Amino acid sequence: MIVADTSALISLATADTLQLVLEEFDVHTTETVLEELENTAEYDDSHGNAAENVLDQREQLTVHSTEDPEIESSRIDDGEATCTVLVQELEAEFLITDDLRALPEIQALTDARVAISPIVSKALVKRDVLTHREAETRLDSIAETRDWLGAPIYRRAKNLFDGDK
Amino acid sequence: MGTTRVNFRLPDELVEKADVAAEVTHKNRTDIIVEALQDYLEEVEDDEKFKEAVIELYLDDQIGFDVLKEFIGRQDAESVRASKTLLDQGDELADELAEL
Repeated sequence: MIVADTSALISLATADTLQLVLEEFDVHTTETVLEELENTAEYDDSHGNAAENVLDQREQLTVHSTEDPEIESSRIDDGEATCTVLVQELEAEFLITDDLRALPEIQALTDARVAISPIVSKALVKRDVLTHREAETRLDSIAETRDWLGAPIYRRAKNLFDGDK
Repeated sequence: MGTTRVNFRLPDELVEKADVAAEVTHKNRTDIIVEALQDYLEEVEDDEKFKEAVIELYLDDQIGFDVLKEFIGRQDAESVRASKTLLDQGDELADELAEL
């Protein structure tokens, strides 16, 4: 069972991998994340289009309402906070987030494994449902949408697929 | 390249100085603002490329965490460090994930 936050769902949709992930894994999220996606979908840019793409596939997501987590942090937003609560409630094995700036705090808040979307792509390659070449190309599309902090990380994540060649 | 008319307010003092600069350099007010904005954008872009390059040095283990922190600040450096650790453990994490 995995819990995915807004940033993870948007990255997976940007990389055109979301449908595969939803077929392969039991993916859960929160109502707060859906609200964030609806707000993001209002924008006519790459993030907005990706959010709309996620919302088109919402039937395949299990959406939960959560208690107000009351986490005060400049780096963790409401969607991420509710996901850390949901992970505990469901005893999910993985929490997927692509908000790198929030990553250290999210890790501190949960006992679950925390992973970023390139690691999900790597798992899809291991399951033989995605080729390493497709995974690499899709990482490029994510890297293009990221700022100076994220872009080098996503470019470097391509090394994950070196061993598969 | 096309142009767009934009409306914004500038502090009086800045307009005065821009007009003096325009007079001295035989340019008009628009040229001055376009040049200043271009310089600013180049600087910001260079700065971001610089920060990306510093992060790449850290990912390559050529600089340590303390140096990274000097350039991009503690919080962002911690985010980069956490991301690097995830990438380093990526194969094992993907194994666990693939087995779910």
